[in-house]
Amino acid sequence: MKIKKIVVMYLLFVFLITLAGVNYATGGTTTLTREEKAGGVLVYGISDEPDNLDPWKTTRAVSDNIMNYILEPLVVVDKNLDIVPSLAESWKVSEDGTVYTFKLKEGIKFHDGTPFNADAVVFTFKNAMKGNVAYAIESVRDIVKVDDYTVKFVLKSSSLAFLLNIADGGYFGIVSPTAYEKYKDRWGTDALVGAGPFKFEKWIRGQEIVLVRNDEYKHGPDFLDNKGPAYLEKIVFKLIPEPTILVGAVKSGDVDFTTYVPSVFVQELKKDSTIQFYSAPSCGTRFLVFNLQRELFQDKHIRLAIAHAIDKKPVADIAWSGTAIPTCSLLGPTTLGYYDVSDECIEYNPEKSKQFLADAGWKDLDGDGILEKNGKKFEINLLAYALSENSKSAVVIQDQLKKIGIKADVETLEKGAAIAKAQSGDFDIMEYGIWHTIGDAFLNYIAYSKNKGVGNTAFYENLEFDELVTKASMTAKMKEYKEYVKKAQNILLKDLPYAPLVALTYSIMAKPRVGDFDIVAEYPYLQDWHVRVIALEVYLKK
Amino acid sequence: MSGYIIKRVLLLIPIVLGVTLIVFLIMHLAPGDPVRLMLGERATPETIIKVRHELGLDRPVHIQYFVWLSNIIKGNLGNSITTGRPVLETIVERIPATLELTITSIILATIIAIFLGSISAIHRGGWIDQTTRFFALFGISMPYFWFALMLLMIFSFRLGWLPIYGRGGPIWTLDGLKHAVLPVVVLSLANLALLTRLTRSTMIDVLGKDYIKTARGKGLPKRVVIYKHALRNALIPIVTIIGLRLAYTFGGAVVTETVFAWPGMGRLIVQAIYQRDIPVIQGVTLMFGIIIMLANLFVDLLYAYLDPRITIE
Repeated sequence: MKIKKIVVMYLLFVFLITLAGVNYATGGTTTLTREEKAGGVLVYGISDEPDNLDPWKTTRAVSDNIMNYILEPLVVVDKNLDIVPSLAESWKVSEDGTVYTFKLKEGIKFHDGTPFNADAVVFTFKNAMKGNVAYAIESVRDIVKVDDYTVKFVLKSSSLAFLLNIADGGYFGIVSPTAYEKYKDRWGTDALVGAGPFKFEKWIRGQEIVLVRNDEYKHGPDFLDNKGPAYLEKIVFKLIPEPTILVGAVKSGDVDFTTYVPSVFVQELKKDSTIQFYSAPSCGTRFLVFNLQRELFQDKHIRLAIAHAIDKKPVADIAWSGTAIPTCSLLGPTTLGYYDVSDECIEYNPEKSKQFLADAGWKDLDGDGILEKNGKKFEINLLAYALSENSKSAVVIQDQLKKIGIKADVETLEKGAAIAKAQSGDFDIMEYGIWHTIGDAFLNYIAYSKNKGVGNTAFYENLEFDELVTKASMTAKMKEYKEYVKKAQNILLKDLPYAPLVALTYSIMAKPRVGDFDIVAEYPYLQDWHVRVIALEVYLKK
Repeated sequence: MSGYIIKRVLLLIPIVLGVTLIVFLIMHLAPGDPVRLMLGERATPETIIKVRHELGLDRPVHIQYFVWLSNIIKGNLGNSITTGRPVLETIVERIPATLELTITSIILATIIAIFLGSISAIHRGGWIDQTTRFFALFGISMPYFWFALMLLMIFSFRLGWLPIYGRGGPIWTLDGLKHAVLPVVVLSLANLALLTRLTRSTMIDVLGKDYIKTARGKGLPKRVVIYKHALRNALIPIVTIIGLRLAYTFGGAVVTETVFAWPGMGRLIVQAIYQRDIPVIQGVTLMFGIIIMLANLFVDLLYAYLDPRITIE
């Protein structure tokens, strides 16, 4: 008996020691060396295939994302939206904010071995100014080579957004002019050469795009611990169009990492201990568009009635599976110029809605629950994309409008058809939204009078608003910029061509073997500026 | 025979072109501007006008169609609006994957269906017959999409036996075969169910004929009666249905390729439709039309082999 007790105590002792050892090994803060982190192939799941990887032709977000790994911009953005040097060593801005003189880093080579210099910068931007994303740098009048490592950008007017826009390494990353001339016919389809942390290896259409580490890369931004080369040996972008399968592929381990997480899976994934999952605010919002070309919506009381009738919480919970946040702002939380608009908020108040409608002469005379006026029923069409969240959002809004006597017929169309209808003004109200990183550009797109029939689907016109947005785009002072954006948005919130609904979050998920994944989640999802973090900090645990 | 083949091939041309004309008109009538979709919502009107002109999309519709037609004669299917790559090159990349999937599924479905249908007919009313009929009904009723997800859940996610997505390589390689199992099974399902039921009913009918009774009366082995006399006659309507099912199978491939991320023409055309990439849509439609017409020609020639009374004229 005594011996049995000793054996049991001994085994317990060994067990406890082992447990402590395990805890130490997994819970301790052991710092891995570069050699321990280096190596491995990250399988990055994407659900959309690029059309091409030509920064002057493509406008797709997925293309921008992948090009960001291959090309390097002059400047990059850190998690606080501060601009920091990348291929540019430093820059000076003229007094009036119209001339930016960049001093370039020396000794950097492109993937083809040719030197990075001022000629390459001028070549890149001259082409970008003729390309399909030229609107993002329309403030640039000219680019001049001062010497081999100095370039001057001359702007038409000062612009705070200029540096933010050129920080997008996908569209405005610097390319090798030599490589462009060599691979002209295949540029963007089978060849793309830059100075980024990864090189283009191959593209198997319909299946995957493979990038390999650039071992010469040592010029990563200062805010990262690793300046290069990347730890990962390769990144394979695997195309899996069906979102359910993509999420399943991450959970099963076939795919290591993805940023394509449908909102319907988010609550379940948050509780899944077999994966790493993060959700964070984004620059995307959804809002209701009133077609001001329709006489009905030219009456602000009608717009107010509808805005007060919408309870945003069910929209966020039902349509976006609880991943969206009710908002009173058209700007997203991580959009430049965002501010708290609680003072301008239109609260959910269906009684107020009914009052506005009654004051406008709408009454339910026949008791069928739908209001009438001058023999006409209050029936409108509510346009939405035929995508899960958008169509659900429209149905929730439809139900809420029914409670105040408005019959909204939901019309869901495939995106191309919906955009065509919206831009031609063939709708009454629309559930809509876009992702935009820069406040003045966003407001310009949705409400500037010259953009009617393009982004200004409300067909709104207000000269004071136009002037404020123009001033915001031309100032180089952050305080002034924020003031102009605030005043411009306040006008929109008062005039109500758009009624804010929800702000969207973005989600990313990865397998446990993806190291330092939590750092990725600290960076806002802004046109994939967090690419540098993924490229240089993420590693695969062995 | 060769005269018949030449006649059928020549007939293929106006039929396929007729189909492409209808598709071309439908795509132009459908709302959505391909240039706007390609450039994104934020493209300026000036850029849109410029790109539309570069792509020739500002020309009248009938001119666009005739330009496309004249290019076809030179073997040029034009360039994709979204990628800028030659349409022919894009299709050639994707054809092997789709043909691999559809041909394998049709062959598999046919072999199994003939076997199951024959057994079911021979043991009519028994448990084999009942079970086969149940599964045939299941197969006809089951939507491709749902069935694909169920198989994935069981064999890929839960058991981890088979890959979740993609094409591992040609089907004669081990990796290729592993990746092909689930998509082929999904695509075979509807055909398997339909052909099983058809084989069963045709065999029941044939087994009741006088010449079968004569064959049995002559003391021929059961196997010879069934496979040489009965089945051969039952195959004619089955072959007819296979020919008709080809178009459905290609349609089913669209859904199957999307679920399994199979890089074939089905997925290509879905993407092209969303992007209003008319040259790609036209090119894939043309290719599907040619494949289906040629396959039906093959089916017609097979009749002559199966039934010597049928002559090809």
